[in-house]
Amino acid sequence: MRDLVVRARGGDRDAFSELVARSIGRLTAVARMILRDEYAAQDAVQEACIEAWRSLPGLREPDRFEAWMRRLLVRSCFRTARHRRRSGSIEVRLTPGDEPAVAGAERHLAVHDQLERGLARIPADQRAVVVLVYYLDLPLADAAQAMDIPLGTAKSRLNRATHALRAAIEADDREPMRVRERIA
Amino acid sequence: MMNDRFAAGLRQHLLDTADERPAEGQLAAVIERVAITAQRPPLAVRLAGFPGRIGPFPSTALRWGLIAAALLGATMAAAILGGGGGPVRSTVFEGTWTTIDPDDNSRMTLVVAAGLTPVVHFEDALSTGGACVEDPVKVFTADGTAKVAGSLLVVSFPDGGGCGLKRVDMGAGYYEYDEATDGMTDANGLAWFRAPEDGILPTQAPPVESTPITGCLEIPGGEWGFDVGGVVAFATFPSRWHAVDNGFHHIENGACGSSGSMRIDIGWVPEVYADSCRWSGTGVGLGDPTTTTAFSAQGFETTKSPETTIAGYPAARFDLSVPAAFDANACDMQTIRLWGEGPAMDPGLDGTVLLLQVNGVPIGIAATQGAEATQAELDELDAILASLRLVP
Repeated sequence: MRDLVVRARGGDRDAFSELVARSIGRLTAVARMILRDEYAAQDAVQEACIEAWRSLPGLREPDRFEAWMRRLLVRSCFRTARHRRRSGSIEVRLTPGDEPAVAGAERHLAVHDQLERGLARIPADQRAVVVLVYYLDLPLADAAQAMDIPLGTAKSRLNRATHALRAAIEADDREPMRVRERIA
Repeated sequence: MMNDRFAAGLRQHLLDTADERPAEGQLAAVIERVAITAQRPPLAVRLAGFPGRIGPFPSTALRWGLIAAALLGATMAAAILGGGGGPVRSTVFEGTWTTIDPDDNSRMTLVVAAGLTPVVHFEDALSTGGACVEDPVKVFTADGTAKVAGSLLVVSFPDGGGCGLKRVDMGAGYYEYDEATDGMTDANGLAWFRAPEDGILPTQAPPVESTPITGCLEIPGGEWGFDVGGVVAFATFPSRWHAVDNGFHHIENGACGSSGSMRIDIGWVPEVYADSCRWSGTGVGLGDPTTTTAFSAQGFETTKSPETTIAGYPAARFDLSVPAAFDANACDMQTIRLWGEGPAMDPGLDGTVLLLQVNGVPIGIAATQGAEATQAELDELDAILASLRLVP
């Protein structure tokens, strides 16, 4: 990996393509989770990759490539999310609105659905910190760095996000008859 | 707080639902764009501007104009440091010159060889005219000759120029040298600046779109310049600082990827937020007493020292302290922001804000430090601020 980064930093497009090929799947998964829109996620990944290529000569430590790339991706996602808000895009999740109450073995699936609905409801910046910490398993300090926010802000953002998710599940548990998805 | 079971469930859910398959053609699309995209050399990375979302940002022409200005500044600094002794030139025109194409904001260079009838080489890093419509690479080049006539350099390109697929005629032109500025003005009134003697030049076409430039640059010790919408802010940094671009120049101690205890934000600030918590859409223009009112009304402990000067320019200085008990969770994006994409302030954080105008360019500088910052680090921060100089 380091050799590829050094070569790409020196202008080797093949090396950079190899780097992208190795990471595009994971990057796309992250963007999908943050943006919850397939096309927006693809755009965000592409812009992040192009920006990485442009700015690579400024990366002094090749070993930090992955963290640097994550940061570019998160910012690209935020830009995309802002653009979508400005352009009046809305996010509609077609989740069944009147699921019956469940119990026992189906509980696991129900929690999955509840989490999905909860993730759809919270803002992109909160989803980002959840994804960075719980999906990529980053320390909170690294997640804060990826989002360019102070550590304290990252903590409060994560706290708020997880509270919202938990509240969503508890609300579903209390009122299992009709849970309607909101338009983000 | 969430319990471990919930956290484990959330983690498992994300792992279960993650789709790590790239879309069909996604990789090919990236590779295709990389093939026609030039890299940004380190010099441009550290000097390029970063239009954000804080308002009607200046055009990229300003950014690239500032690069030229920075190059000029670097040249002047080199001359000063060298005791005024510059390279020996056969004519004042000899060397490499650079400017910004006002039509598309791309960089143009003119290389003039030695002698009274020098060979010249012209290059436009991004040709957006009709000459290169069919060319995949839009770098326009032309080779010609020139004659030095007093303060004029008259150039001609008998073979025309182009981007590769076809050549177009180029008329003769001239450049007039100005001894006072050591610059040139061409027949269209465009100012040209001498490039630094070390030959380091941004060589890529500038981005046509206003995409904020991102990335992290670990700053070797020394003086570095940051383009601020029409002015280059230079400051001397010790080692172990890094610069990040997020619609703003964000410079922080520590290595890339780490969270530092001190941070400096420098940017083009036409307005501050009237409410730094519920900041969305609350921007108010700068000016006294507007700014004071805006900051004072927000629960900050605010003092103002209007007599401050930065690099000889009068500045309004505000010392801010966000109360430790301030609840940022209720703020927009759970973030306290002073302006645009400028500094995000945590409760308990102290900072100094400097607002000034340099030749009409509104500049904001925020230096913030966490409670963990040591006295030595605070001294380091003060030294950086004291070293600031602004080159319009």
